[in-house]
Amino acid sequence: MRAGLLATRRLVLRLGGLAAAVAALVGGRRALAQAAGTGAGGSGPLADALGSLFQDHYRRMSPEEVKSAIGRIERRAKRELGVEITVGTEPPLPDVVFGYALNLSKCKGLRRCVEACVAENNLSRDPQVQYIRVLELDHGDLNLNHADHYYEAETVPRPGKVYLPIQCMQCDDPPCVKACPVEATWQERDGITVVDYDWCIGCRYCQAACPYWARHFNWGEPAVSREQFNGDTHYLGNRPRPKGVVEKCTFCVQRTRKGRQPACLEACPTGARIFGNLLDPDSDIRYVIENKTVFRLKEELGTEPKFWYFTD
Amino acid sequence: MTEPQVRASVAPSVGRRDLLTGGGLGGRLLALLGASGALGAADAAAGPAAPDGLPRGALRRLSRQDASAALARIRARWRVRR
Repeated sequence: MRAGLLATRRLVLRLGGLAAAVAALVGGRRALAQAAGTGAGGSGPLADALGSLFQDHYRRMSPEEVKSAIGRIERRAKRELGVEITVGTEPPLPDVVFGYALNLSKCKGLRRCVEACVAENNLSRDPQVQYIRVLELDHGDLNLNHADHYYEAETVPRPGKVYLPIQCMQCDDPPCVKACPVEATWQERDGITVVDYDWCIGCRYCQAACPYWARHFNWGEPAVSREQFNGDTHYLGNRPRPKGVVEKCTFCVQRTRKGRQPACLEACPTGARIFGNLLDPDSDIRYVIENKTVFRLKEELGTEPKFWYFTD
Repeated sequence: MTEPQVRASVAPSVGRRDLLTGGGLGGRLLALLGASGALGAADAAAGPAAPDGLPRGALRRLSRQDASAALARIRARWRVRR
């Protein structure tokens, strides 16, 4: 009799405990959601920090969640950097695969492309992060191991030298994407490889996997002054990035998905750069690939770069 | 009462995972050494030059046919992606 009563009491206690746990979970989740700003109100620093903490992968977020995430980014930029920014989410254009071609006969190593890229993409000035690296090589020497990455820009073009700008090749079979253990980087329909900076864990496997030195790790908080900040941004492109994540060239996704040219192309005074849609048979880039002497960097790796070099 | 059995095919993979992720400093060092050894061996087997004699990591000239084939591959991959 006594044993039966005890068993019933234990059952009641267990059921009560379970109900209390469920209630606490539901209540706690609601409180967290409200603090994170997904409920009614909640847009302070703490709410934004919590919202970012519980944010999902970009490709899994609903339109409302993307809107909330953009709100957090814009508020944080205003609060911490003192700048008004707009964060776009323009999707890939239909029937477009972006490609780039660079005329080696015209490049003089002026590095105007580097400067324009830094300004357009809000790259850190200190420590310096640059998506484009211009190599100086002896004429006729194709071995990149002999290249000078840090030549003096004031003296270019030097006699007997050629200049080889390198940036993300937007590989069609990108090794960096395969290396990411958390799928924080992926290739979009238009062939651009992008990074979800909020999902990146900063392991730098992609950086090790990239044979073109195209990925850059933010060792410090990116330093861009208020006056220099470009407020026209894209979620997968030049929006503010935190310390401890990897970033890369996106062919200026914030511009090119609106029909504009990349900043590096517009800045080049020699007209060495050509950008366009590889699927369009009438595009300039298709003309170059089909009619000029074209080269690819590290072709033997099978990464299928969509960045081509050519000579006149 | 019989002891729970561990399938032989499972045990080694668990061991490797432990070595890479949870094996402490010694395990990580071993994993690093193993990886760098494998890379070195692959590099040595590949030789200093690419099959066409150019140094590895160089610009490679593409013939018209090669360039067209590369474009066709890009188009094919895009069809899969869209």
